Amino acid sequence: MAIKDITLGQYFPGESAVHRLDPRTKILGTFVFIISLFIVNRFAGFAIAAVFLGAVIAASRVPLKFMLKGLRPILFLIVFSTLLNLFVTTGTPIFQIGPLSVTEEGVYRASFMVIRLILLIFGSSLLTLVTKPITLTDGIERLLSPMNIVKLPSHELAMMMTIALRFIPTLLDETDKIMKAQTARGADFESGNLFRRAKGLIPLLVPLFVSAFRIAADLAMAMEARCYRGGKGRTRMNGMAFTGLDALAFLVLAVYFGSIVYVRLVTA
Amino acid sequence: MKNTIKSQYWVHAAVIGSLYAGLTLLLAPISYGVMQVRVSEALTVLAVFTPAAIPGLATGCFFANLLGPGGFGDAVIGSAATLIGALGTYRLRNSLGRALVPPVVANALIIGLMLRYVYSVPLSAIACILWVGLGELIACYGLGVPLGRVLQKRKGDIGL
Amino acid sequence: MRIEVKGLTHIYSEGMPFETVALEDVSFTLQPGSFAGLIGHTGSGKSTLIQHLNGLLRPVEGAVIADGVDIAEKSDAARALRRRIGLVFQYPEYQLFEETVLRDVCFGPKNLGFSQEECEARALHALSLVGLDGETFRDRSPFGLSGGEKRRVAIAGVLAMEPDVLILDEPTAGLDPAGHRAVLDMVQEIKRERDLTILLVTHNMDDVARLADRVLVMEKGRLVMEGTPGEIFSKEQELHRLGLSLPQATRLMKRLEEKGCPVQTDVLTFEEAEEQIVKVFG
Repeated sequence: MAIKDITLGQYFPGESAVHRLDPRTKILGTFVFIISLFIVNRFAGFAIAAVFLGAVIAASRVPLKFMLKGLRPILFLIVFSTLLNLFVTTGTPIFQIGPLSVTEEGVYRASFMVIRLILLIFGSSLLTLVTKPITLTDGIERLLSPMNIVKLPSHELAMMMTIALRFIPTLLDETDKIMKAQTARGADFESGNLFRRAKGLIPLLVPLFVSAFRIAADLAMAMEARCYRGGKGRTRMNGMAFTGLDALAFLVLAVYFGSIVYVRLVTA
Repeated sequence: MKNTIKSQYWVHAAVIGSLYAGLTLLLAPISYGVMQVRVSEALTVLAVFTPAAIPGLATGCFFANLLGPGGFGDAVIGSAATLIGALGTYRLRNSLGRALVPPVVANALIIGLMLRYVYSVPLSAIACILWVGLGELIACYGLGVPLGRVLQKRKGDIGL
Repeated sequence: MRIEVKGLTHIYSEGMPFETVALEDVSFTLQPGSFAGLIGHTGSGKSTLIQHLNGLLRPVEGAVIADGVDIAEKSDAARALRRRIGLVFQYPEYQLFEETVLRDVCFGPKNLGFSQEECEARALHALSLVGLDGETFRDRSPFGLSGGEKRRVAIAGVLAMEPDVLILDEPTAGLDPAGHRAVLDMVQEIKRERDLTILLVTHNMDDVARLADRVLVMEKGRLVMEGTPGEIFSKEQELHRLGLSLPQATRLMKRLEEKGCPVQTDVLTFEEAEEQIVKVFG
């Protein structure tokens, strides 16, 4: 099952302007972009979105080939969706292939959906391409910190996210080791119907859970031993600060979003 | 003493999140899309045993989706669905049979509608909801409930 | 059982950008009834190699042949042979999962298809081989045992399958000196009683010098040295280059020789060293 093959996230290392932006800027930017895609109601809007996204991708210097790899898992969905929308939508027929007719509305609808989907996927995957998961978590913590007022423990949440991320490879390793040890004792994880396989997972899941909670207990104790007291008064080694670059990014975002809204309203 | 208990809660949550994310990524081919059987959703049963599973599972789902094909949108919406489901499970923790209904319903509705309206899956909203619901049902009742029974017996050994 | 490894090559993530050649053209033979030691720096491919020996991994090139049959084949004969090769991983106690010791040790035989009575008989016998009294331990929870006891139960779990070959990956990891000695004595005892072929993966040169009749040395996926402990441990320079050390007794003799003492350095154990010292210094 090649557990070693699973690469965590798709962070593409770099020093571009986009990489260097504050993670909060990137998170908010992604939000704004995704929302904008749902405000668009005609192709002109998508053109603006595509230009904007293209510019950001170019600025990030992430190779297009790398980004296209991210589309592969959904390629099937895109093709399927296109075909379905093409043939199923009723309206003015353009041409016929036997009993199936391709309508004007179908072409419009299919292209609209597909373009939006592609822009959505590229846009949201860009976030994880230019931001390390741990930086992302820090950004989320800072963004949520105003919520401390309504008793949302932003620090603890971010700490939990950081720890969760850090232990994914460790637990995957544990799973691999346990699976191998049990297979060496004749366990079979592959054959049998759904119920048999579920039962067969006990020799894997019980030791896995034991390991996981043992790691948790050890970690909690280690944090305790280092006088961890939660978020109160806690400072960080690498401060997070907005720079001129972020101000520029916000300006660009504002212009972009403004134009999307404008195009929408003007054509209402 | 108070601090240990507090740290333990969050660390437990973190580890449950890692389990969820790890399992989802490991079984990536069946973890995403309309025809998903997300085996890791069976882990929602942990919310019967510890409230730490509520933020934990949501975090795990967040990362699993973030690193998957759906990206950020899927991460936010999907983790919301898992969060609501886990909250429901915790509320219904007295009955194992009923406890896993909330995740099936929450995921079916929220993920189903997300697939239809955000990711433009060319099936009707009802179809999306039903397909996702089916996958959830298999994960939660095919694996989750039996797992819950085992955990009930062995929770001392496991450290829950 | 005789195991021949021929030109074994294994590549992780083949075809992808992070392709790693874990094993390259490894060939050697384990004679029936022998005790071989496998040593090598971390990352040299030891873990990957042993996983091939019982069929957990399939070679990209080359083969592992047990008693004349390629164990990677999909035949019943190959399957039967794979079942006779036991593998004890590092920290094997992490694989324990059952409610009672007896049930856990029975897991292996059960998977092999034996009846409940046969499983229990094998399990109890295996427990006695590892020095745990069957009647005392059978109904206890494996999770309530001490670390040393847990490890023994895990090893019993593999022994209950009655393998002809036993491969142990650092069976003494994490144990105190007494536990370390106990486990190795146990391995020797078991080998004697069942006439097994043993392959011991270890970082401990003293153990290799004392117990093995054959040593295999790995570096970066290749088998770079092979021979008796006497032959291997006479090559201090080469071992040093590979990041490996000598048995303590041998090291001591070499240092004494450097200082001008007329001692023989082909010494492997403390007993031999003592002999030398007494001979030279009276």
